[in-house]
Formats: sequence, C-alpha cells, structure tokens
Amino acid sequence: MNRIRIAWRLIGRRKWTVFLLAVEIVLSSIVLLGMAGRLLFMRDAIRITETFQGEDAYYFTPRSYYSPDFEVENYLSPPLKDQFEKSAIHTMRFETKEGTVLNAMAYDDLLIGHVKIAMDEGVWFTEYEGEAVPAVAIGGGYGTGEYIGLKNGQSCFVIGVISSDTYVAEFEQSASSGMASLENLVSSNVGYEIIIPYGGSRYGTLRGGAMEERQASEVFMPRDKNVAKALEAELLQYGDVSSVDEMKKNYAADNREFMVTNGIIALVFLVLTVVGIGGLNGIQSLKNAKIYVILYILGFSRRKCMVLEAVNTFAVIGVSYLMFLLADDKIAPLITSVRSGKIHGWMYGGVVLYFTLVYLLTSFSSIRAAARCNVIELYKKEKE
Amino acid sequence: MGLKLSHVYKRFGTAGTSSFREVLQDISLDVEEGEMLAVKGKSGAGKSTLLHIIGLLDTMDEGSYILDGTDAAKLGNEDAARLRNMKIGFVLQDFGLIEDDTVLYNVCLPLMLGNTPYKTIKKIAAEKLEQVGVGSLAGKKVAVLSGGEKQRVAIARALVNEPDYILADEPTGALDTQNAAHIISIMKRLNDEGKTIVVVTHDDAVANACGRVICIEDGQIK
Repeated sequence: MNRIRIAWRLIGRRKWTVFLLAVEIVLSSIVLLGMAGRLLFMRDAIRITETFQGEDAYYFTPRSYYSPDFEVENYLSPPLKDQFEKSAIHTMRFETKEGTVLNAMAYDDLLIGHVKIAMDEGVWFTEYEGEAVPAVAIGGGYGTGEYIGLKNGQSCFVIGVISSDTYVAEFEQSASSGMASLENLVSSNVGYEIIIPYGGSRYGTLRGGAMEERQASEVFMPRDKNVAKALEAELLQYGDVSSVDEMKKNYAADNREFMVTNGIIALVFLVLTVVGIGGLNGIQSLKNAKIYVILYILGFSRRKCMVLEAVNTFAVIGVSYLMFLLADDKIAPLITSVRSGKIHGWMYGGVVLYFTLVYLLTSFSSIRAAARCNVIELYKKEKE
Repeated sequence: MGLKLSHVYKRFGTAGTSSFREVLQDISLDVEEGEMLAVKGKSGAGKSTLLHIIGLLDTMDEGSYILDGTDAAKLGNEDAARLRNMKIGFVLQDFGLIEDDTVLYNVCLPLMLGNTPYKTIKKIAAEKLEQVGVGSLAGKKVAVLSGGEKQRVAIARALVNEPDYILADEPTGALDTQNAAHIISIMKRLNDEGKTIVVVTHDDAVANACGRVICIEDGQIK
C-alpha cells in the first residue's frame, strides 16, 4: 500500500498531462472502434443486399404525397407489367392479447428466400415447416418456441431469435434518386420486436390483424435486362429511384471516404499519442532519475525502482482504461454514431491490445533506462 | 556488532585502458558498534567510494565485508537493499531530498518500503523531525527550506527507521559555520545515544568531533 502511495505521488506530479493524453487515447480508440464497426457493417450490408446485386434491381420510394395504398405497378405501362419481381417490407403494429403493442416487420417471400441473417438461436423461415405463422424475434423479448397471441385471436410462433443489433433488411429510407447507398437497405437496432412473413404461398399471415400497416420503399427486379432502363424511367415518374448497382457504387465511395477520413484521424491520434506519451515519459524519466537515486539510497532495490517507473509510465494507459470502464455508457453511443451499430466483445479486446501496444511503444525505453541506470553514477552527477 | 572490511579493492574502467582506476586498494577497516569515525582525504582519494561500499550502495571487486555478522559481499541486490533500509541511514552533502514534496513525506519514505500503516509512519516521522528541531516544518515543501533546515530534515529521515549506522557524506559541505556546528552537535548527540557513525568529511570541525579519524590517500588508508 505504501509503495502504491509512492507511485501515486510520482503520477500526481503530471496529473493533467496524464489526463489529457488519456482523453486522446480514448478518442483514438473510439475512432478505431468506429472503423472496426464500419467494417462489420460493410460485411453485413453486402451479405444482406447481395440478394439484389446480381440483378439490375431498382430501389424505389413513391412520392410522399401519394396515398399509403398507392401501388406503382398499377400505373406502369402494360408491356412492363409482368416484366419484374417486386420485394417490399411492410411494418405493422399489433395489439397482443395482453394489451401491449407489438411492432413487426413483414418480409415478402422473395426477401425471406434470399436474405441471409445470422441467427442467435432457432431457424430462419426457409427452414420452418410447421403450420403456425412463424416469427423471428429481434432481441430478447421473445424466446424460440414461444407463441405470441394477438388480441384478435391470431397468434404466431417464434421459430428463432436474432439479437437486436443484428443487421436486417429494412426499406424505410428514401431511394433519393442517384444518391442512395446500400446502407439504405440495411439497419440494426430497428426497433421492431419480430419479423414475420407478409403472407405468400408458403407461410401463414397476420395481415388482417394489424392495427396499422405501412410500406416505405420497395425493390423492383426486372426479369429481362432489356426492360431495365424502361422500368427505371417509368418508376422515376412516380418517385425516387436508385439502381442497386448505383447504390453499390455510392456505398463503396462512402466507405472509401469514411475509411480515409477516419484512417487519417486514427493515424494522427496514434502518432500524437505515441509521441506525446513517449516524450512525456522520456522527460519524466529524466526528472524521476534523481528520485530513484534517493529511493535507492533509502533501500529501494533497482528492480523496485524499475517497477515504479513501469507503474508510473502505465498511468496514461491506466487512466484510459478507467475512462472506458467508467464512461462506457457514454462512449458506446459515440462509437455507434459512426454507423457501426454493433460493439462486439472482441472489439473491446482490440482496444485493450491497442492500449497495450501504445504502452509498450511509449514506455519500453524509459523502463529499460530505469533498469539499466547506474545509480551511483547518477548520484555522483547529482552531487556535482 | 559493528562492521569489518578486509582487503577491499574497488576498480573502475577496464584494465589496460586510460580510464582504468583502482579507487580502493587493500582497505581493511573495523568500525566498532557505537563508534564515531571520520574519513578524511583529498577529493578523488576514494572516501565516497568507501562510504558507498559500507552503505551497500556499491559493491567491491575484491575483499570481504561483514556488517553486523552478515557477509554483505554475498548479498543479492534485493537483500542488500533490504539491509540498507533496515540498518543504515544516509546523510548527504546535497541532502538527497525530493525538493517538491513536503518535509514530512520525505522523512516518511524509508518506512514506506515496509508495511507499517501510513498513519503510524507519519507519527514516527513527525517525532523524528521534532527530535532534530524542525517539527514545525513538516508541512512545508523542501524547496523553501534553508540549507541547515534541509540537512536536519535529512538527518530526521536517516533516523526514521531506527538504523544502527548513520553514514554521512560531507554533511556540512553545503552549510555555513553556524549550521554546520548545529549539524555536528546533532550527530554527536546521536552517537552518544548509541548510533554508529561514519562521516566522510573535509571539515576539521567534523573530524574533531569524531572519536577516530582515518585518512585515505590514493585509495589506501594512511
């Protein structure tokens, strides 16, 4: 305890510098975590949207002044009418028999058949062979094997669970002609409790029981490449359209920009951190040399002086750890705000490794200097 | 039990090079328990090196050194440090204090190597400061003290572990006559109370206060 007090006293001599450098490390960690999150997002976005990438598909959002019942296919010219498949996600609100509100996303057969989502437990719709209306629960609200009863007497059966931060297809964002990106099709933490089939040939449906139903955007996939441009041109008359190919390019450009900007920021922070802590440790080691001489004379061994120097130089990293632990609930939203959505345990592991690397890079030389210093020579120099 | 050095040699540099120096040559010295010994000699004669060896700060190249029955030459770094902490208190010419810390904290330091509760350590340190007449300075930063005050603080620190030996390296070297006289009187009093004291000095006043004076010339006791 007394030795900790001595180390604490040494650290206290530079407390404000330690604090500022620790903030810098935490910031650079946030940037790095954000980048890692973005990489994950990219992977998941591509996995989900690859359903459409082989096609010359179009993401379409009808103009906002059309009625909710507006169906663009009714207005397309006759030669185009049977030349495409359409995929949409409806959002629905139900009242459960307990009187609570149940928010659901309803996928059509096409999406159910193509979208690949990693299940936490249970199975995806395509593997379900029962008679009940299947549902995949999002988050921990419902468990596999559970029936969710609705007020109107209908019910659905939970066949699997995905965590709330899993990326799912969600067509709620606008197609914003030419500017949309693949990430408009994918989101995590969507705020819905279940995914259900919208109702098709294979699965039962809850459609009739919804208190509210809404559909924002949809994806059109031409059956014949030759009609693709004509379809796009007609869709443009009724709303915003972005081709999936275009969205892919925009997405790649967004990612490049994100990675370059954040990569530069992360690199600058890393260099500043290493130079800052390394420089500070160097200066402080010189200042501490006299103290180590005094401690050695008073009965500290050289090894204990070295340990003291190691603890002293660890201060910045230690304070950074503490900041992360104490302010986790404030730091996490900062990371997710850069569109990572999901922070995995291994990402924190990466931060710990990053801290350790910074510590080793910045402290090795001063600890080695403390271990190797000739205390008697130092004492003689002090005397002179 | 005292300390006994036999045929001690200390060399610096590599043999055959211009930097090679044999600082101590065949030094044999007995210091009895309760003795007050002055070590005189010119600068570079080897006095401080001898004191460093006696104080377990440095090692010898040849010879033997028995401190209170312990063969100090055979001690590892950790054991030597522990023995130094328990048995020896140092008083240095430049005081060896941490300037930007408080007087009390400086005096506490030797006891902080052990497991004594800090509250007790502070109490003992305050008593030692009172003993050397600077109790009122406990809360002050060392940097604001005069040379005489600093040296008394250094003596309080040397005493806080209740060591058997006080080793002083030019304790009055940085002080005016009045303060030097005060430090000499404190050291004399400590010797009267039973402490064994070895003082390296140029100062005749210090040497005259000691029961025995030895002189080192060119690394040998004359």
